[in-house]
Amino acid sequence: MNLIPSEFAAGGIYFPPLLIASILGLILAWLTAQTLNRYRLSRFFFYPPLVLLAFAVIYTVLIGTFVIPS
Amino acid sequence: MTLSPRFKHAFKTALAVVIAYAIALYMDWDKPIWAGWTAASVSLDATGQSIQKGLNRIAGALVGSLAGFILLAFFIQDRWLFFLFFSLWVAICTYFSFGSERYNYFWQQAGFFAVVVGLDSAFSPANAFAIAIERTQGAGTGLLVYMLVGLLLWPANSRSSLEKTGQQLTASMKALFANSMGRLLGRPDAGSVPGAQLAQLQQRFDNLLDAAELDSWEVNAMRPAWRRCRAQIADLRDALERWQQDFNELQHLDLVKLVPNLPAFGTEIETRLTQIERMFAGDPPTRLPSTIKLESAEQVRKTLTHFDRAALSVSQHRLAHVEAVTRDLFATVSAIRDHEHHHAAAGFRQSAVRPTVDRDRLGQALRVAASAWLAFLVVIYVPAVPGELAALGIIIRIVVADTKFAWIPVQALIRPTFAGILVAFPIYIFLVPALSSYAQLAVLLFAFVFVVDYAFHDPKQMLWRILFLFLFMLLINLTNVQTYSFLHFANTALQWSLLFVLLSLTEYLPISQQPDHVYRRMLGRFFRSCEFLMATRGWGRQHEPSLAARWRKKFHTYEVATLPGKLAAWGRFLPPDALGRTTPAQVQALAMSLQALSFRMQELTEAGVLHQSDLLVRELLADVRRWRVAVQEIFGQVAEKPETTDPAALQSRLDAVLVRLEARIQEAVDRIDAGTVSAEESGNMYRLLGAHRGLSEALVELSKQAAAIDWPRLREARF
Repeated sequence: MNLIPSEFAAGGIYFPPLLIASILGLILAWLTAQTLNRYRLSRFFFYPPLVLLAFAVIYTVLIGTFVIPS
Repeated sequence: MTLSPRFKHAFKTALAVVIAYAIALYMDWDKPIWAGWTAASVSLDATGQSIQKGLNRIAGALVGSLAGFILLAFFIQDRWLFFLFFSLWVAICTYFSFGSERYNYFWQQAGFFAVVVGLDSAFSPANAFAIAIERTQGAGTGLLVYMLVGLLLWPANSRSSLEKTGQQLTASMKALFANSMGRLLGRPDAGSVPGAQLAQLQQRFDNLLDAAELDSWEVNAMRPAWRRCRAQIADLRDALERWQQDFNELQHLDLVKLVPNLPAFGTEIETRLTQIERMFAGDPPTRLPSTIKLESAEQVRKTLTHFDRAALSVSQHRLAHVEAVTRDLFATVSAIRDHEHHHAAAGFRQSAVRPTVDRDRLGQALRVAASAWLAFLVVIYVPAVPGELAALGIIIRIVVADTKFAWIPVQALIRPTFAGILVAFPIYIFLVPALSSYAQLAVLLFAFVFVVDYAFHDPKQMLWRILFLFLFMLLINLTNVQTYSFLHFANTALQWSLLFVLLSLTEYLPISQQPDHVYRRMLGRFFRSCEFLMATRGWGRQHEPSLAARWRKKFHTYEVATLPGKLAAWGRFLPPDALGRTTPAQVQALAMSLQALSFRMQELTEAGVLHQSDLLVRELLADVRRWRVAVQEIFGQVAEKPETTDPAALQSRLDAVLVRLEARIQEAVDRIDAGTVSAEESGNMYRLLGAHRGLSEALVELSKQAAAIDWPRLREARF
């Protein structure tokens, strides 16, 4: 597996891979939070806002490590 | 063909933007957007309102620029100290921008311009001065252009709107009074007037008066009288709303026997309000107010229980106040119509200001400071943030503006923002490069502004209108040497994405701004403040409280008076997930019962300062204290868990206390020689007893409304 990050080019502008990973991470974290809210599972977390932040970080790291560089 | 006000407004705004841009480009200013955006942002329905907003913008620009210079002068060498004081200034401006509707925009601009001078100048003092001057003259040009367009093209004077609103407000208060009187006298229900409608009309009247003072010389010449009129209308509305709360205790009494001239009194007040309505409409009054005083059938009155006498006494006191205010209001409006300046101005007093700390405003100020710091740290520590210092400036400005709509979730901003960016993109990339003269550009500008202003004219669509116009102007970035770069577009889109991430974070940290969290916090604060006020009052005060104790009491009194209004506003934005089986109508019913409780607390505070007979105090002290402590305990319980109080148990407890106190009062009155207690002292005692009972009744009513709320769902943790 190639672990060297690759930049994204749009209209001649290069976007850093971490930026794309963090945007995707945030979107996924938000979707997860909505799903947990929908099924009333968020009540089992001590402090949901912090969990949302943790989800965002976990997704960003996972996407940045396994999805973006490939 | 008659043009609609909507068409005229959109046309004037578009024309003002085109002219403002033309001047800014002709003068070769660095950022013509300032002139164009000011012309678009100050466009309001009446010229006076626009002038007032524009003047606030200019004054705010001057004060904010000065603050920016001072910060640069002191801390230009140390970015941490600079940012510490800078965020403090922005937080102060945010705090004060919530203070009054009138100066809201001034403080917002004072915060904006400190950002412009401090950050857009990139820490260069020479730049800072040039930028401050240029931005202020850009804003001044935009304002001047809009004023001229507004004055020359379909001029809309605020005076006629002010008089029409005054007429509507009087008519609504008359309807409220007639309805209340009908309920008391057992007439068929003629339909109620919602309190929210009255509050909206009052707010509109206040705003229009500020505007009319600027665009109508007739209103300006009679300014003291108009302000007095405003204060009297507010006083009358307050008295009528408070009076509504007395009805539960009065409904079982035969008021026609107790107060024989009550129907005649009601007719007289309604006639006065009709005459005031006529005068607002421009017609002379057909009759002057007659002198009327509520009569009291003492023999029938003596057959009542002491608590019924107390309720009657409180209500009579309120009606006497309504009579006095309507008489004064009649005189003021009549003076305005006849232009009797000095007569109307006499006796006008500015309402007493109660300076105290508002926790919610502090919370918003803290949120702005936290957002500013987060953005600052991101710009410093994250490499290659698009726009860097300029992005920081834009982010802070948007954060300050966002606090005005604190209850609107950040998600609500995302759709209009990205829709605006997507609409502006093809215009910037494909259309603007094809234009070869200002005439062509003017057609494009005019068409875009006109369409947006026309399409999003409704006040509910204000967010869409503001964001579409601002993003369009920001993205096309018009200058004399026009450049077209996808980078500029991409950077702007990324800056806004970063802004939303920061705003989402500060919606939770340091203080959660989620509507359900805010709602619960405010509810707890309301009851704790009630508890504090109950704990600090009493008949047996031995010594004067300290300055700190007085300040705390003032703070809690302010909380009790203001929180029900805030709760009603936030209650409308509770998410469906937090409501569970609660309906929005039940949330509003709870807000209304909180408002009633707030009025009762205020009534008790007012009655508490009246002079009481020492003999009566001595006789009733122990019982009243016991009652007070019981109410205090209930407040403590509902602050933790509003659903814990059972309405039926509370009602039976209240009834038992009333029976016991009734007997104690009778004993005391029998023991005391009638001559030793003056009529005034006796009246004051009844007012105080009435206030105590009213408060207890309001608590029972509140517990009924609280039982309908799905509290476990509201408390449930969610993202």
